[in-house]
Amino acid sequence: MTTSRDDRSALGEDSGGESTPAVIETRGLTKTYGHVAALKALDLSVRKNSIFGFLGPNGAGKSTTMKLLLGLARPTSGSGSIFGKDIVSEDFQIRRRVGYLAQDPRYYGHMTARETLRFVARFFYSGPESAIERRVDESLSLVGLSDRADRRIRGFSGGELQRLGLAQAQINDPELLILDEPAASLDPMGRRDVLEIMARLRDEQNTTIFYSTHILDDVQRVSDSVAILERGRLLAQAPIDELLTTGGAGGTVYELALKGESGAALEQARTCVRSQSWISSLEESSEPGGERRWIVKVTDESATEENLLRLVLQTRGVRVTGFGRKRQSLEEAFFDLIEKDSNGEV
Amino acid sequence: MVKSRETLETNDRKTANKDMEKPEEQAALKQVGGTLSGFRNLVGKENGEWTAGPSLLAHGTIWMLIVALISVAVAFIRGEMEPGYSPTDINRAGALMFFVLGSVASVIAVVAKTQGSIIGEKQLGTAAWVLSKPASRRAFVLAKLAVHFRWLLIVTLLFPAVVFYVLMTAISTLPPPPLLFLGGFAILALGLLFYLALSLLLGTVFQSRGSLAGSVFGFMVGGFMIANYAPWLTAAFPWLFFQSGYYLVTQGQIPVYGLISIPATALWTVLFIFLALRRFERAEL
Repeated sequence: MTTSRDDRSALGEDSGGESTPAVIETRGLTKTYGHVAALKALDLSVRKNSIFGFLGPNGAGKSTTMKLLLGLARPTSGSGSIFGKDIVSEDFQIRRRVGYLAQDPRYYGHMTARETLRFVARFFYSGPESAIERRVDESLSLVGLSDRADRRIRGFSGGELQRLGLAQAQINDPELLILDEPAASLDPMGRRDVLEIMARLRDEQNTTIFYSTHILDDVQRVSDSVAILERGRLLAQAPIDELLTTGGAGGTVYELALKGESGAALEQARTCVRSQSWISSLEESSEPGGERRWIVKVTDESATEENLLRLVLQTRGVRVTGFGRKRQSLEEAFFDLIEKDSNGEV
Repeated sequence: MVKSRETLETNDRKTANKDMEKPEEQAALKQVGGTLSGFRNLVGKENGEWTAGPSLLAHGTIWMLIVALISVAVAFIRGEMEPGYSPTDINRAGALMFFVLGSVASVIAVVAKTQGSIIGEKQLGTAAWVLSKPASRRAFVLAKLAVHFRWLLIVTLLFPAVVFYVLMTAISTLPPPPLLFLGGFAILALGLLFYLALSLLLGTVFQSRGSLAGSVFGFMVGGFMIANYAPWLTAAFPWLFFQSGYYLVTQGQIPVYGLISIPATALWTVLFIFLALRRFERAEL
């Protein structure tokens, strides 16, 4: 059996081929510890060759999900698959094709970085030492640890351990990388480099990356899709662009800047707009220079783009100085969803 | 991470080189598999843990002193104090000490060395890390069993037994019967394996080292106490293995309870290993 990803696909191992591009699929995946539900009926789909950000506050169930996917914990109910293989009964075959970096990773302190990578590589491969050593050297170089390769990791800093973690996770040339907080304990430069490595692994080696993080800026920079988890419940899952335009709650948000000759004119326009069936909500705020800003959440984009501006302009004494789709920051979308969940609106 | 732009560019070139090397690499490396996948690798890791630090030297020194040298010293002193002692008597005095200290030492060494072997790895997260790779859980436990047995046997029993045998021969001028001594040694070795299997099983059950250590010591001490009240129970466990070894070396035979306890202990050992594997197979990490 050879080791290349191409060959594995050729052997038909890659059931997530062209027709089924999802690498990770879960259906109703649930995990409870006693009476505590760590994960509630999670339906997740991670498509091939994407960087998928898995967001949520502490205790949301992100690490639990990752452990379930790797067979380190067993689901209470529901099912999941990676590469079309069941996460419970075929976890061994899955782990051959996956790289994993745990949150706060721990290794054997008596080993050096090189020995650690050699140790990991030997779980995947047997063969000439020179071939294994080449993989080890490449991995050390990838994360910039070549100069500390022969130091015992007992004395490594948090950042160095994180780099080692990334190196060991990708040493088997995995089709899927599962990274639990890969940028934690790194300084801004370190975070940037981790994100670059992730992007390169996706672009150059077609690796799918499923990672959790608290750092929303990072997610916005590199992720293709995101899922937001809160108290074990999936609040949203969407391509990042969609989430930023819809806020993740199934509606699109438009922004209007207006000037009204009188309060009555603006009130008339407001009433007219609010009466439309495709309008979910309209929030108004005052801007400098007497301008008003409307944040309009809608359920039908085409109806909005066809009618909203016209409806406002029909009202005498109202002028529109700005109109467009509002793109939220991920932070806004994230907190919006979390707050709505707290209020029972999601 | 403080990797420079230059490093990243170097890495780009390396990635290109890696692609060029791929066919050769693919041909050279084979995927590892099987029900004991990762066993050899894990054995190497466990061996490294024994040999990398001062553990081997510390255990070797302590058990050599306690098991071999104290036994020999007691036999020597008894011989000096009792002018009427024959070489056989001196050998008997030494053998009793050797088998008592050997059986107690093996339990203490097992607990000292293995109480955190599984629990520690579960708590630290290294078990989850290793088992996120294509390593079998069975291999994880069996590697610990094999390597700990190997080193504990060497440092608590084998080296002290060799030194004891040589020194006793020098002191008494009559070598203890070698085959019988080997038989007694094998009995102690089985006892060591029993306690090791028990310790690993309890490592899959408990979450704290204290509970594990207390249970294993409690089992040994409780056994000595039970022997006075329910002697028939001693036939089921290795509590009186020191007597079996002693009688074998000095009288050439094993008492009946000893004859039963040897296969019974072997069966318990197999059962403990089986249960440890089964429990760890289902453990959540």
